[in-house]
Amino acid sequence: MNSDTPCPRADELSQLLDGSLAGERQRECIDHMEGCECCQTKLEEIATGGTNLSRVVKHLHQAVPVATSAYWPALSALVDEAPQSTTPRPTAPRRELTLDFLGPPSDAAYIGRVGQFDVMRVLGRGGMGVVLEAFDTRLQRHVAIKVLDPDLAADEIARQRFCREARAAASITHENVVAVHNVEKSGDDGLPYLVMQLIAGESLEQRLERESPLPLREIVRIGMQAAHGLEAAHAQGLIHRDIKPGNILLESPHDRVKLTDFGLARVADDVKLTQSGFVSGTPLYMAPEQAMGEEADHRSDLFSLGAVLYEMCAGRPPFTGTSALAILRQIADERHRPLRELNAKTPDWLSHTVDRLLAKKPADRIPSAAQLAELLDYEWALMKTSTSEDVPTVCQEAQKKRTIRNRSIAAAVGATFLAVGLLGGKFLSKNSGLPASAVSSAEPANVLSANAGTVWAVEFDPTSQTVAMAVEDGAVRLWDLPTASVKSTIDAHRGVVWASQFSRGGELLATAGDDGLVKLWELSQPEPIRIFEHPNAVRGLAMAHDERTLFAGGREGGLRAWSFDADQPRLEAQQPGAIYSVVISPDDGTLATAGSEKVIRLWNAKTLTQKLRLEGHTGPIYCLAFNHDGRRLASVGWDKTVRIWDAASGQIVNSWVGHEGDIWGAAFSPDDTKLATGGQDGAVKLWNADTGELLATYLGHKLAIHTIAFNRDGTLLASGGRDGAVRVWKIE
Amino acid sequence: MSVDDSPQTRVSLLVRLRDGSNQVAWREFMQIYGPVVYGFARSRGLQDADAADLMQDVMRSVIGAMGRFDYDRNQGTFRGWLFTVTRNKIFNFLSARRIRPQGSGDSATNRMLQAEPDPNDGSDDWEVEYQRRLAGLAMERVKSEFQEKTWRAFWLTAVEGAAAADAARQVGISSGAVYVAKSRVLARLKEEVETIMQQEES
Repeated sequence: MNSDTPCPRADELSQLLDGSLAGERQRECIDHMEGCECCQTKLEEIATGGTNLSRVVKHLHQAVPVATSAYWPALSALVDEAPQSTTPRPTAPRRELTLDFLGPPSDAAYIGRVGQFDVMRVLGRGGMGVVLEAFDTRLQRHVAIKVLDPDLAADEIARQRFCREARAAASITHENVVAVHNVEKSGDDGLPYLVMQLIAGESLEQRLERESPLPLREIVRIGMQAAHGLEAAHAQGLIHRDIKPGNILLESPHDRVKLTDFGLARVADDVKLTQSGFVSGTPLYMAPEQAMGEEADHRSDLFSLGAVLYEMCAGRPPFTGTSALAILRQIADERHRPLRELNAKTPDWLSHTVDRLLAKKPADRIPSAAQLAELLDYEWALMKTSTSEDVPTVCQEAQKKRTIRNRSIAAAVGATFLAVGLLGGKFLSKNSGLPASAVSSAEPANVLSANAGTVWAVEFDPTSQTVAMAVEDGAVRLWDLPTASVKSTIDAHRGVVWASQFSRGGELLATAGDDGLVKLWELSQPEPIRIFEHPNAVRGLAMAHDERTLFAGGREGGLRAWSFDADQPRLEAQQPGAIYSVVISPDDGTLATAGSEKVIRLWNAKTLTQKLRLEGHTGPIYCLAFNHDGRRLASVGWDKTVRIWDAASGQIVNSWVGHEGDIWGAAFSPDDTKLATGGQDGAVKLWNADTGELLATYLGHKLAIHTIAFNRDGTLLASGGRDGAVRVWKIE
Repeated sequence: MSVDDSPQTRVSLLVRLRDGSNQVAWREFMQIYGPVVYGFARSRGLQDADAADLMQDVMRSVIGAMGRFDYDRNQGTFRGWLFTVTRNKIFNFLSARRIRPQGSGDSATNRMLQAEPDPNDGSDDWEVEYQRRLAGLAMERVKSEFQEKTWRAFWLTAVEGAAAADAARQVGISSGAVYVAKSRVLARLKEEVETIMQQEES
C-alpha cells in the first residue's frame, strides 16, 4: 500500500519535518516513508542539511564519561577553583591615566611631587602605568618613577605582587639591568611606585623602528649584553617573563644595553584584566609554554631573547600573524622561517643559535642565559678587533682557485710584508709599556698568507718543511716553507676548518670543520680516506699517537672517539657547553677537554670515563696543551691567564696573566722548557714554562692570534690568526 | 545551561571568558570542552584517570592563558588553539611514559624524530569529538521540546542504531512515523548545534 503512493515532493518533505503539512497529506507521507528507502534517505538529508549530523549522533550515549569516571571529580574540582573572584570586572574602557596622585610641586618648574621626588615630565605610558622623570631631592639625582596604574592598584593581589616583584628586581645589581632603587607608596592613596635608574637613550623597539635589520655587530653586542643581564637575574631566581624590544633599553652614549621591567608582566596577568590595550599585550616574543598558559621559567626568557635576536637579524619577529591568536598558534605549532631566507648575511653560527633558542621544547633550548652569554662573548671576541676592511675575505677568484686541487699559488708575500711593516710599527708604539727587553725586534722568518680568511689551526709536519694551515674558507693549505708557496690546497670542509693535525709520522692529516665532519687524509691522495660524523660543529680534535684513534669535541659538548677502522664512534661522552679544545697525552692514556664551561676535564682515553676536573679559570678556555713528557698541562682562555697543571694530580702548578686580551693558543717547546702563547692582542709571547718568566714577545700580527705551534726541533714557532697570515718565527 | 538563551542578548562565550571572573562562562566553557578534551585523550589511548587528569591540566592552562590575550573573534581559531594545547599535553604525557631503547649510533636522531609531534596528528578525531559534544549539548537543550514518543523513536534509531521496525514496536508508533520523528529531531538538532557554535565563536 505504502509504496503505491507517489513519492512526496521535496517541499512536502520539508513541510513534513516542520509539521506544516496538512493533515491528510501528512498521514499519507508518513505512511509512504515506511516502505520507501529513497524517501527515508532524502528526508534525513533535508533534516541534517547535508551535514554529517547523523553520523555524529550515532552512539552518542557512549560519548559522555560514565558516572564512575574520574572525569567528574576532576571537573568539579575545576569548577571550584577556576575563577578567583566573583566580582565581575568593570567592562567600561580603561580610563585615561591621570596624574591625580601627584601632590603640588615644590617649584613651578615641576609638574608635581610624589614623596621626595619632584616630577619633571611624563616619559611614557605603558601596560603597567605611567613612567615619570623626576628629581630625587634627598639624594640629588634624576630618577625614573614607574607608578602602578590605579586600576591595577585597586586590586590587592596586583598591588602586593607589584611590590614583591619590584623588590626582587631591586636585588639585581648588574650593568645590564636597570637598577631599581626603591619601592615606595605615595602618601594619600598608597599608590605604589618604583624608583629606578633613569636611562638616557632609547628602547630597542625604537631603534628597530629606525633601523632594521641591524648590523651584525650591533646584533651580537645587544644580544650579548641582554644575555648577561638575564644571567644575573636568573642567578637570583628571577624570571623576566616579558623580554621584548620595548623592555631592552639602549643607553647612550656608552652603548650599554639594559633590561627593564623584570617580573612585572606577571602582575598584569594575575589580575586578568582583559580590556583591550592593557593585557600584557603582544605575544610576539612569548615562549610556547607561556602561550599555552603554562608556567614560565628561565628558558622562556631565552626563547623570547631568541625571538628578539631573530627580529634584529630578519627585520621582523619570527611569528607574525594577523591576530594574537594566530600568532599564538604559530608559536605553538609552526617552525619559524630560517633566518638565512630573510637575511642572507646572517652567519651560520647566529642562525643556529637563534634556532636553538626558538626550540619549541624548553629542554631543547640553550640551557641557560650564562651559556648563551658565553657563546655571544666568544663570537664578540672574534669580531671586536676587526672591521670589514681589515678582515681578509675570500674573494671569488680565490674561491674559484680553491676548486682546482693541488695547485700552487704564489703567495702575495711582498704585499703582506708591506702591510705588516706599517701596522707592526703602530702596534709597537701602542704597547710601549712593555719592558723593552721582552720585546723581540725579530722579524718573522716567513709570512705565509693566501688572504683567505682567519687561520684557526697551524702545524708543522715532522720534517719542518711543510706548514698546514686550517682556514676559515673551508680549506687546509699545505705550504712549502723553503719557497713560501702553497704546495696543495685540501678542500676539506663546508664552512670553517677549526682544527687540523698531522699524524706522528706525518703521512696522515686529520681535519675537523664547522660542517660537523672529521676527515682523515692520506697526503698522497686527493680524497679523504675516512669521514666521521659528529652531530655538530667540531672545534677540538686530537689524534692518538698510535695513529689508530681520533677524538673530537663539538660545539654542543659532545665528545666522540673513533677507531680508524670503523665509521661509528667507539666511545661517546657529553659535557656541558661547547668544547673548544681536545688534546691527548703523549702516552695516549689521558684525554683533556675544555671549552665554554671554565672547567678542564681529564678523561681516561681508552674508556672516556672522567678522571679529574680542573677548576680555576674564570671564563671559557680556548686552548689546552700537554707538554712532551705528559706531566704538565697548560690552559689558556678568556681570563687572559696562563695556567699550568700537574696532569696526574690535577693540582695547579703555576699561573700568570699572559696577555692584555683573551689568550687563544698555547704550545710547549719540544724540550718543555718554554711555553708559547698567542692572544687577542696580536702578540706572541714566549715564557719560561716553569717560572712563567717572559722570555720574548713577537709582534707582527695586527689582529688576534688564534693558533700557535712549534716545529719538531723547537727552532721555529708558527702563529696564525684573524689577519689570515701565518708568521714563522725563529726561536733562539 | 544557566545562561540566558537569546542569541541576541547573549555575549559570546569567549568574550565572557576573557573576563576571568565570569564564573558562569567558565562553567559553561568546561561543560562544552571538558568532555571534548577527555574524549580525545581517551581516543589517543589514555586511561580514564589519566584522561581526567589531562583534562584538568588543559583547563588550568586555559585559565592561565585566557586573561592575557586579545582574541580576534573573526578568526574562530580558539578551538584549534585548544587542540594544540591538548595534543601537546597528550604528547608529553605519552612520551614521559614511553620507554625508549637507549643505544649508540643513530638513537639521537631517532629520538629527535620521535619527539616532533606530527602537526596533523588527530585533528580529525578532535573535530569529531567536538561535533559529538555539540550534538550532545544540543540534545540536552531540545529534548524537552519533543513528545516522549518522538524522542524515543529518534534515540533508538539515530543514537542506538536500532532498526525502524524495532523502534516502532517499542515506542508503539508506525515505522513511517519513526522515520519522520528521527528526522524531525535531527533537523532541530542541526539548528541548535548551529546556534551553539555561533554563540561560542561569534
